[in-house]
Amino acid sequence: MSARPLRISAAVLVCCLAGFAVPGDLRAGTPGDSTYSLVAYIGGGLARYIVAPGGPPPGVPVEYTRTGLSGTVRVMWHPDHLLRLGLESGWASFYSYKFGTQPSGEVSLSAVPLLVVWSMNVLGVDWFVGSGYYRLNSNLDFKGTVDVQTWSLGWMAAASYTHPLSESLGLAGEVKWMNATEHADAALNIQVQLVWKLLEW
Amino acid sequence: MRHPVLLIIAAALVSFSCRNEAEVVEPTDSSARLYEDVKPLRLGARAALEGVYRVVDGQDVFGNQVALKWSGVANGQDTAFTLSGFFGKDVAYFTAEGGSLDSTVFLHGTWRKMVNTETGLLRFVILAGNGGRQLMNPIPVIGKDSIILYGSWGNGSENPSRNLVLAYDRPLYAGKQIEVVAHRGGGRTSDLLPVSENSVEMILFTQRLGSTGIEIDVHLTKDGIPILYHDSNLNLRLTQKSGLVGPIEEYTYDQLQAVIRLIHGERIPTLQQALDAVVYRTSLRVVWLDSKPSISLKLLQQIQSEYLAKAAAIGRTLEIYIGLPSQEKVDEFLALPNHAQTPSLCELSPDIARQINARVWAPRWTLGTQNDLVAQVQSEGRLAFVWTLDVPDYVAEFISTGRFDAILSNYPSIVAYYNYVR
Repeated sequence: MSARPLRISAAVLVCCLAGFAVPGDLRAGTPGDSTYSLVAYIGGGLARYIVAPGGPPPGVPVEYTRTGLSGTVRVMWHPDHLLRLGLESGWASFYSYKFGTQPSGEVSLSAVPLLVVWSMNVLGVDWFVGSGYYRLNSNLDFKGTVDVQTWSLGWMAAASYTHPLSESLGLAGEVKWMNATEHADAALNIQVQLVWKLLEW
Repeated sequence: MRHPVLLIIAAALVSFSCRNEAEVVEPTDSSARLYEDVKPLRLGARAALEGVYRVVDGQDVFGNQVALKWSGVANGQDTAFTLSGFFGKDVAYFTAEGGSLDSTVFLHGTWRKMVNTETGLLRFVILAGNGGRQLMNPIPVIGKDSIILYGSWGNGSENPSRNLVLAYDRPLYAGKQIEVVAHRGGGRTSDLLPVSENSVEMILFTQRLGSTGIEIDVHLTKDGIPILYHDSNLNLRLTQKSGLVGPIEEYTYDQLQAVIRLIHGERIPTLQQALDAVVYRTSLRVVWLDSKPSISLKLLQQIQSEYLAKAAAIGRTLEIYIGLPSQEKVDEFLALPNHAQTPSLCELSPDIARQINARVWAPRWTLGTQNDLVAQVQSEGRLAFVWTLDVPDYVAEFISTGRFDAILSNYPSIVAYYNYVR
């Protein structure tokens, strides 16, 4: 599937869900009661690279690995209204490939997001959208090793369901789309997260 | 609740608005094999066919006149010749190949407008009685309306069906020629040309756009190989997706060759490969080496000297200039042995050009035609180039009222047009 239909589908999904928005069950912060809180989401899981990966020139043998690990650290400010604001970082493996024969080489690409995130609880699910930058880490092992980093403009969208464990702790399952737009990299993440109310005032 | 909804929609729209997906699909001519039986035109016929033509039919699309000019690319002992047409409207041009059958000339090719993505197929015929027979003469006699090209054009790969008729009006301007120096090895990748910027393929293509010279961007790889590449970083604007990112100078030449291909699949060439193509396969007369920060001017000086000698050895007219865009590069240049005799191009003030004995002074076009300064520099035996001039009206003005010896442009076809129709 090409990247364009996926991007359009994601946009339509986000817009539709926004249209159905109703005051939700805010497990960390209650709207209208002037209670503010800081909530951390910390978790990990799998990342699947879902757009066409880069590769060596045509005709060169190549073997891809498109599923890897990912982790998220997110801190959200839950004010006394629906829209929440926060920051997100973490790490995700995008893809790697082995190419060529005698000599062969290997390329791997991963990313560290640095995003401003907005979220809203709709129909009992927390919806997140974020924009900012991804720090891309590229590693090449072919006749020597090269480790290089660069920035890419990007965004993310995620849906998360939280099961409360106590007044300040919850366990969440999250599906997240990461997109480093400038370099046309995108990965779908499935993670388990610990949701922890750090502060309330 | 309305504001959050708007915010999310706005965030989505901003995220999806970043990609430029414009593209030019190269048209393919399914009838090209019909031209296999034609005989190549002789030198005399090719020369006679060059000229400024009135557009008799098709003015609404291509404007009222066109300059026709041949170019050739050598491949061993053979040379493939291409007829180019440079229009004044919409930075349009065409390229065509063909030959004669009896006394009729058949040409086929493609047209393109650089101001947008319009392109398509094009065919011409010159009937025996419309100049074909005259072109077959050992010494053709050509005058106004003595050659008529009956042509047709179409959009994309559709069969050409709309009329384009050209009538010979006058010879190409034969006075002092302005060198048409094409940016980034002959044309930019972002202008959706069929070959990638700063590639050997672009160097071989750019004469079709009317170029008589090229500017190329020279970086140094991690292992000290000078290569052609414009940007500091590997990116999707210039290269196919590979998983490699970051500064190009972090990679060795072997690593780049193993993994990186330019947008249209070409390899990143070394400076020597590029200059080999210039010297042995084209008739380009000017090479402007734009020295990026990483490149050693001492290395450039050695390669420049080597290729000037190679060009001289085969009787080629070729100037290779080391471009000096900053005071840092000027200081580095001054430290070179024999710098005063090294052909250089100074983008700073005329005083600095004098100080380093630069062969060329090259100011930016926004400073205007500067006729007095240009005349002063030329009186000292230097040349004056202006960069980077792309707006057709300004190109016309600089050619008609200016005194520059060369114009650097991303659109060499429009510079060629205004140069030849004078």
